[in-house]
Amino acid sequence: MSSTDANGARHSGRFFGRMVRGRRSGFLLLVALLALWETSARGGWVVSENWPPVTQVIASAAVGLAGGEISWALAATIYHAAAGFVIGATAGVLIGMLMAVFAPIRRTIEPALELLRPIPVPAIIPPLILFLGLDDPMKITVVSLTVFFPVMVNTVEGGTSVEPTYGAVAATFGLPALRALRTVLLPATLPYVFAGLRVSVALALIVAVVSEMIAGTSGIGYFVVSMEYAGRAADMYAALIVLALTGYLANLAFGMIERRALHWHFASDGGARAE
Amino acid sequence: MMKSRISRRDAAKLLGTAVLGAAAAASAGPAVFAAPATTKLRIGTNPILDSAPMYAAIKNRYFAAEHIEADIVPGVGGAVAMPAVAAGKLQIATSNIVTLILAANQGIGFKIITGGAGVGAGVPNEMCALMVRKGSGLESGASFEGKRVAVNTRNNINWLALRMFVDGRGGHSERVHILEIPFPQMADALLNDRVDAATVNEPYASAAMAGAGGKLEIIAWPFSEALPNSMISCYAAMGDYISAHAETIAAVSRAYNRGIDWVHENLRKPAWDELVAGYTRLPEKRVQSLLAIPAYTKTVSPADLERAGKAMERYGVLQKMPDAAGMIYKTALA
Repeated sequence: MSSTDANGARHSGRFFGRMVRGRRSGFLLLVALLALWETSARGGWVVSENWPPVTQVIASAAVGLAGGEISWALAATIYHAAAGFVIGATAGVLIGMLMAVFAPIRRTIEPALELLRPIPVPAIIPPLILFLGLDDPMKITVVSLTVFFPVMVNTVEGGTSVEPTYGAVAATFGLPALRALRTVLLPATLPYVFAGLRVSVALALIVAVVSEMIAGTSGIGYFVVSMEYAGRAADMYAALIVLALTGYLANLAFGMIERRALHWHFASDGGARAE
Repeated sequence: MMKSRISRRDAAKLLGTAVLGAAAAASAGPAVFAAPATTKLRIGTNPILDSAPMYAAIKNRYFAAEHIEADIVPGVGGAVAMPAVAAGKLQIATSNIVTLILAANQGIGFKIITGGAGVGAGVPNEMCALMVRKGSGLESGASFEGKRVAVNTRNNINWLALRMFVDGRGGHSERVHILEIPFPQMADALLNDRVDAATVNEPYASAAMAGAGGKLEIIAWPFSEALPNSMISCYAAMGDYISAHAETIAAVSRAYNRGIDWVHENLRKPAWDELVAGYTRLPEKRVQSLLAIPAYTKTVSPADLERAGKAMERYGVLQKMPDAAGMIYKTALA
């Protein structure tokens, strides 16, 4: 839709086009959704104790962060997610590289891994409680198992997709096997590894929260369930918003790390990345 | 009579001997002057009204008086906690009698070690309200046939009480469509016509009534109608653990019973409001407006378990009721 002024310019059309093309459109959509939430709560469109106005939720978030209730819960979740991410990612890269380099190893363990991969996380928590109890080790193990698979799969894919030319050049220069692995194969696999890590960052946070909700004694997941059962809906949504922001920031931070680590890849590849 | 006098030299010898003796005794390991050892226990419990005596016992240091360091693991009861107890990750956990009967039927050696929360003959000693939209006309057992009724968990205590209630009022409970909905969402489900009735435990029942603008009503309290004067939830431990730590279990029972006494002395008073609000994280106003509070008792009757077990057999969730008296340790036996 547009209108023309004395100069014949289609102002509103250009303005709208700029908004949609620019970064502000995402921000504006968020604002519009929050405004809809606020209106629906205050205007009586949704009448429920479980649907507080968003301004009340934001106030609860501020109080919860400043007072420590949400902060401590978030710290516990970040610890569960980060520890599980490091363990799972390390195992994923190591085992993935072994499977990529040594075909007999891949043939031996791949069937078992493929059987385990589709099992949903909530299903493995009850047996893990038997072996690991209810505390941090169980939650970190759940996160590690979840992170392991995408990283391992991507590492195998990356390791087996390396240009044969690289190996030939390494052999021509007489590189020892370990050095070739460290200086040629591993860097070449990194784009794929980082693709797996990027997916796993979000998964780590999600699974940490799920494990805290099912068998929690700490963390945002436990806090959300506690607030739900305490009838403190504003605090519950506040925790969810804080969690969403945390995930967003974690993704941003990972993107920055990825661009630094793979600067050579982005420069040579015109920004295209392995998926 | 000759006065006996102790010389200074003799007094000094006596004093020196006493000091040396005390030092020797103190350095003799777990001997004369050693403090009693503290036992560490991990206790799984839910932060709900049922658990008030346990939290009272901890807050008032009744466990500490028994040389027990009780580490409460909140948010885990029943289905999550009992596997942890079986695996030794927790020593004691709360559970309702349905879960315990099912476990006993599978040969898992839990034993009830304390009393807990139950219902009396009706309000105010109740736990669960059967709530409907006002003017629904639901009352008789037959009126529930074909209707959608919410419980928190199927095949467990609310589900059992609902079925017994419907059958007890002349209906056929197998014709009721029973859905699982978490307690906090039950009022919304009722108001939005997702269900026709809901078994709403406190404190959600009083919250629903307060926040529904007069659109909901409580037509019955099914626990006391189906299982009057009955234990509903209590604390249990593995039989092996009990055998190996009988003194500890006795101490736990003593501390817990003092917690029950405290609850009885302070019920509906500011101290009670503060305790319950603290561990449930409910606003104090919600605690003050509760419509019903469980009956807290120190013992469990085998008859309570048998009555629930027979109903479980009738509704197909239990093959055979295990020995009820055998499920209860002496510290909790009525």
